[in-house]
Amino acid sequence: MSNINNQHQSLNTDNDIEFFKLKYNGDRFEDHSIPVDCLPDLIAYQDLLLDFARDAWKEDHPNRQRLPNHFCKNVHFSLVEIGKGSAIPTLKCHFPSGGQTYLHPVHPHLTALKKGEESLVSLFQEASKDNYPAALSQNKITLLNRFGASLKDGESLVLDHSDSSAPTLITAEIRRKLITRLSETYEKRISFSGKILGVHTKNGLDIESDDFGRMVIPVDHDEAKEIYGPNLEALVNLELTVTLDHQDKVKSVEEVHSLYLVDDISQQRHDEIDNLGNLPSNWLGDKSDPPSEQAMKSAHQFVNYFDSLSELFYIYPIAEGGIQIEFDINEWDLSVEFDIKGCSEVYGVNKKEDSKDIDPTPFENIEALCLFLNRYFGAGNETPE
Amino acid sequence: MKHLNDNEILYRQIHPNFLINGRVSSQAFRPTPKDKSCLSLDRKALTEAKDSYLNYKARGLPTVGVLELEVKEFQDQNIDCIEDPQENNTAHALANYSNLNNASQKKAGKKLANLAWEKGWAHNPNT
Repeated sequence: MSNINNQHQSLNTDNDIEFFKLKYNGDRFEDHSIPVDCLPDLIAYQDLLLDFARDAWKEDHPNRQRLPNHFCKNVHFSLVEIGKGSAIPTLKCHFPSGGQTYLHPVHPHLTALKKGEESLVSLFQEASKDNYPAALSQNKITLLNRFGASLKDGESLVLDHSDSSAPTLITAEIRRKLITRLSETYEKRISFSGKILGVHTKNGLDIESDDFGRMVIPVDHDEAKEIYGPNLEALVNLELTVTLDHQDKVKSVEEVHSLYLVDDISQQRHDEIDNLGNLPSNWLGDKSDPPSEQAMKSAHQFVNYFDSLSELFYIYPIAEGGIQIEFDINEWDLSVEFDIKGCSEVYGVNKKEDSKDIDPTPFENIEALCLFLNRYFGAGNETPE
Repeated sequence: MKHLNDNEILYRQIHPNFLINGRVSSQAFRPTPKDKSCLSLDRKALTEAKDSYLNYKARGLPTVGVLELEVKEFQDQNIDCIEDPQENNTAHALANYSNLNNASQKKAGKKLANLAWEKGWAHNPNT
């Protein structure tokens, strides 16, 4: 990972502008773009900087009971560019002109913002070493719950700081540990599939999933009754922001980003995966095992991700406890294989040009695998040489 | 063991779990780890596709049908084919994938499965 210390530049030639940069690492950001899902991070980052800046200003002005009028209202951030490597959103911060004096040439807002940023960086630096503050205000905890909520396994967010010798890394795990030290729960954006168990008269849909157990999804009652009522036991795909406890058990659903019934063909693919779990030991002669739970879970996630392509999928067991999904797309014959641990790889051959092929390529997680396939085999995308 | 002639035709039994919704898995044309890099085949020169199928079933082994490939099609993938007569199957032969690493075996399996599937069943009891 590159050091981004020098990317935090003070370019305040007009004395009323400062640039703040974050850095996203992970496959989703490799083409130097930021998924829209992550934009709430930037709002939360702005609000956290301002919240810590308020504290800094109060510290620097112990005799002042109140903050200057419109301290935060007069400061606003805008996203001006997304730099390379993986993706570096640059936020331009505007603050009111004036306020500098001969003795204090730096604008007081900027001084407070810089100190606020130091505090935020320090909070995550210490959290990465398992050092946590005894307490934080409820407002900061609320903002921390929004900041980085869309980070997935294998991804990180880097906070830059001009004085720090090493970049400050935020991962989903560091974030979870920090927030759950300060609060009993934390928020996270999750996507999964679940089975409809019932329609509540008031609350919404009763859903059960392997990953998160049973939960009630708030849905308009008429919609729930009309669309989901006739489909009890059917699968739905969901993307939610939820509140989780220390054991990652869902305590409540904060927001429903998407909810839809899995179509018949996708349902059939899910059933085929489940049926493979019923294969006996030695189904292919000695030393062959039915697919493991981890392999089946990964295969289900894959079918969920590409449910619109599920008509193309042919699903087979692998003798060593894995699952193979084969499909043809854009002149390519591809195989995705999930091993006994649920780890994935993809390989393939071009059906038009014999010299073109893809060596087995492993992926850290399903998200990375799906992004690779989307990038190279999505409609109209270029395929690898 | 004697190498087989380029133009000789070889039969491959297809396991029921490798035929899903009318498509044969590439796994049917690559050895599993227990196969020690060798794929079992029968020689058309010494048996008929139907007899190959029935003999296989008679030994208690599961198969849904027989696909065929030429020796030279294996050779194009750098795979040698040799005779390997057995007491219960004198037509038995082996395709030796040991020249290929694991990645190449997987890709070769795909190419061979596609070639065999294009030719259609040499024997299938349901057709």
